[in-house]
Amino acid sequence: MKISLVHAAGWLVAYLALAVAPMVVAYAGPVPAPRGFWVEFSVGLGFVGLAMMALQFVLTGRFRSVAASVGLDSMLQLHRQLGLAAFFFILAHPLILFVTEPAYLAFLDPRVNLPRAVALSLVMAGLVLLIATTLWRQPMRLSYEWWRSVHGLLALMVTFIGVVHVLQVGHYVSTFWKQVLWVVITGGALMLLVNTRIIKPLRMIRKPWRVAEVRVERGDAWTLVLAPAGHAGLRFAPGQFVWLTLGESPFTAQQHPFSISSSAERPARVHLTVRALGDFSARVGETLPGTTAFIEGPYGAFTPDPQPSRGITFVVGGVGITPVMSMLRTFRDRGDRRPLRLVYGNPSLERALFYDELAELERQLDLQVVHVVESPPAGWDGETGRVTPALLDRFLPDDPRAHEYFVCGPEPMMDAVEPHLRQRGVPLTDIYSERFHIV
Amino acid sequence: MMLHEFIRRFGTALSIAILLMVALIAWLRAGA
Repeated sequence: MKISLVHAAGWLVAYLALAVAPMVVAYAGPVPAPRGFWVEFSVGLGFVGLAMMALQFVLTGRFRSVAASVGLDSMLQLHRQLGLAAFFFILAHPLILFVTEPAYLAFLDPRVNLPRAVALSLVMAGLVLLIATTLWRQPMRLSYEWWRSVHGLLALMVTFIGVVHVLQVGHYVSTFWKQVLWVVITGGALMLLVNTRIIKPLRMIRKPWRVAEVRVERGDAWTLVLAPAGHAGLRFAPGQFVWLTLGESPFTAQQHPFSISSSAERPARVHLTVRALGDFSARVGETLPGTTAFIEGPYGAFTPDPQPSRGITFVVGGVGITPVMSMLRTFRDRGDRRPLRLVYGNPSLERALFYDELAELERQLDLQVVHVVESPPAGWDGETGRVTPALLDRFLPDDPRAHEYFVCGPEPMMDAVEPHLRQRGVPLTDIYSERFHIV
Repeated sequence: MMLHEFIRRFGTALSIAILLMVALIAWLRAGA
């Protein structure tokens, strides 16, 4: 995605203000006499950790205005990182208290106050479970659907018990308006979850889709061709993605993000090309034509300028080709003649999605396709190995700054390509990138 | 700086900034 640095800085300041605001508000007005540094520090971490937990619901709220300036994949990456920070802040809150003032251990003593001890133990266990299931979802063999349901519920439980704890302790939050503020924060987090998990699916019910065709593609991949059922279809920009739900109801945790691979000029036929990478995607090929589908979106800022002012170099690995296919097909339908280069890496030629159509697009567009194959077939005279900076250098324009760059593929490729483009003088704002392991 | 790295640093910088602000406020409050 292309980032807007000004917008990103604006969101940074807004986040910082919102995360620290509840702590500042807590200290406003008449407050009890100060305690030692460690107690105050620990209490501050508790306030801020809880505010950050509530803000986590904003980061996953899929707001188009926010996602448009920094990209939804970056939002989710930030959600993951700040979630970890919130976890450590909240965890540090009791630990610092217990170490510096052991009298606080009474908070966990069921003989002193049973409901409080149970609730606080539950919230700590819930928090550890929340983080553990996220960091180690795959080694723990948890299905994405199960994880997604549990993740939302655990997060809500932690936030709710956290706020109840703030109100019960009441050291800094004893006045009515401060209590109202915390109730509003919890209510807001709940509403955001309700919006993502209930209101958005309700809107999707009015615009169902039907699987018109399931095409087998090269190398364990399929294209689902979706046709609108009783509506005009989906307006999107090439390179965007949608969240897909298959089945009669949109009220399911089984919602997965997939890039659109079809032309933006054909809103009544949306193609989603899926490679068998996870538990859901491996079963996509079994989908029967006629199956009802729901799509939420479009999302994403991995989209080219509609005006053909400059050329584009695409650096793509594997299934990362799908958003680029949408762009190429759109350029073809629009008669766009901007210069295009595609460096496309795959483990083998059999895995190179859209191989034949790319050859056709080379004739229809001002496009040069460079296939890079790790295990080439006999007689292959093209590029071999991986997409490395050295290889890329041979296909960059004479002045690398003359092009915009769209990079999409596996992490190691992106980690090698993005800094290399920067070294070659390409401004950060001319590098659009999208990572497909966003969840 | 690549975007991934930028976001990673962005999140880290944000977390550290928050931690420092909490420490500063606590220090001011404890010392007040």
